[in-house]
Amino acid sequence: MRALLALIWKDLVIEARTREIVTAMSLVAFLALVIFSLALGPSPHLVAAAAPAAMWVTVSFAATLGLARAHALEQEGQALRGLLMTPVGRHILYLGKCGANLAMMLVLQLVVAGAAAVLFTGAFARHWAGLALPLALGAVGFTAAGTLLGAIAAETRLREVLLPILLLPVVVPVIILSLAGINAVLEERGLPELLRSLKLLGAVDIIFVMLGVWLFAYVVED
Amino acid sequence: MFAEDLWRSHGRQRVLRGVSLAAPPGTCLAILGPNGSGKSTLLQILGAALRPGRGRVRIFGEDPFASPAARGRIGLVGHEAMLYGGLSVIENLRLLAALYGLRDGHGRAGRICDLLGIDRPTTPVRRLSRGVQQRAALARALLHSPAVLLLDEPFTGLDPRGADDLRRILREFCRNDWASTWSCRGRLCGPGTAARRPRASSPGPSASIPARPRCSSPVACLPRVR
Repeated sequence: MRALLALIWKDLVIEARTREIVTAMSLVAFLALVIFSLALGPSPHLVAAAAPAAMWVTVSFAATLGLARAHALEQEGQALRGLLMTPVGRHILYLGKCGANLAMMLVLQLVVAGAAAVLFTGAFARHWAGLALPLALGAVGFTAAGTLLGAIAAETRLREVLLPILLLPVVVPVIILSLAGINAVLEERGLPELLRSLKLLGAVDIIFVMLGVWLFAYVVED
Repeated sequence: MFAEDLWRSHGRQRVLRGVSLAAPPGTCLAILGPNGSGKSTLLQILGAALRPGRGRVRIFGEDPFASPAARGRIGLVGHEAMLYGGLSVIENLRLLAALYGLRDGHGRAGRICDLLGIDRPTTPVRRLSRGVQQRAALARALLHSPAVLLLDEPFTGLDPRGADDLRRILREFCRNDWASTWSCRGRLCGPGTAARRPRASSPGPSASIPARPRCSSPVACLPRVR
């Protein structure tokens, strides 16, 4: 546990000092939301219907940008190689990176949900407690897959270009299930429907995390 | 330290072809070879930072890829500092102390910085000069008192005083019955090593790892990669 916390602390301290990742992600996300807002026009029904999808599209692209940068930091000065030589298990290295990435993605989602409440529909602000769970579980799945695939992409020359190509098709189930949960909350369809999507989302999250824990060693050692 | 029949490719290029070597305790083994002959790759494999395509590595009889305890007995200095540029030297060392499970990590980090003459331990690594970064890399490799030290051209970037300090530390290291392996291209590999010039071994699938008669320390030579 001490090693895991140290790994998360490392990424958060670097980010707190440089503010490279969260600032870049938030700015990209905000600009994308403004473009969506202008593109959807003044129709309140159209805006309200498109808001959850616009939000997830924005989060996906901004988070992919952040994940690529987070993994580029591991390659600078071959810092990751230094970690590989420690007695810490590769799965702890994965969980540490995943934990730090998740923290940054949750900040991004907070920024995007806030901006969406202002630009699209006030329903985001009214239902913030109900939206927290589908968004957070979506973030877990997205980050779990993104951390593994980010490590693969970081080893290649294409890096930032390759990551979205690898990641976005894989996280489609996460996005669909998270959107189902968000829509259940916004349309007030009741708890059972929300729980149904959350259970499936939780199962997908567990599968992604387990795959990451299992495969990370092969990715970083080869 | 023992390695047998190590093979490794980078893409289509075969970098190591059946390399075997052994370094008993107290041994200082130099690995010589021209640029691109696979010295750095070999050391990264021995340090468990890179998995070989084929072959096996044993540190005190254990596989370092499978045994965390075996990895904890290795220190490696590579071409890069293998530290986080956004953290200071002392923060990097404290992070590593936590990962190695060292007690008194803070105290150790401070002492190793003093020992290696790192005078700006709280400055982020990316803002340090090449020489100080090299000292920081040495601090990282020595922090956990490894029993096997792998050095990839360790004198690069060091000023004469830094090089003298490193020689002194390495003499002490070998005197304590620990094993070290280092790679170099140039004439002087370090204390007790008098390799006259880098030489490729005879062509063939394996690198030769004999004790060379003209050297006062065992020397392994890697052939040029074709």
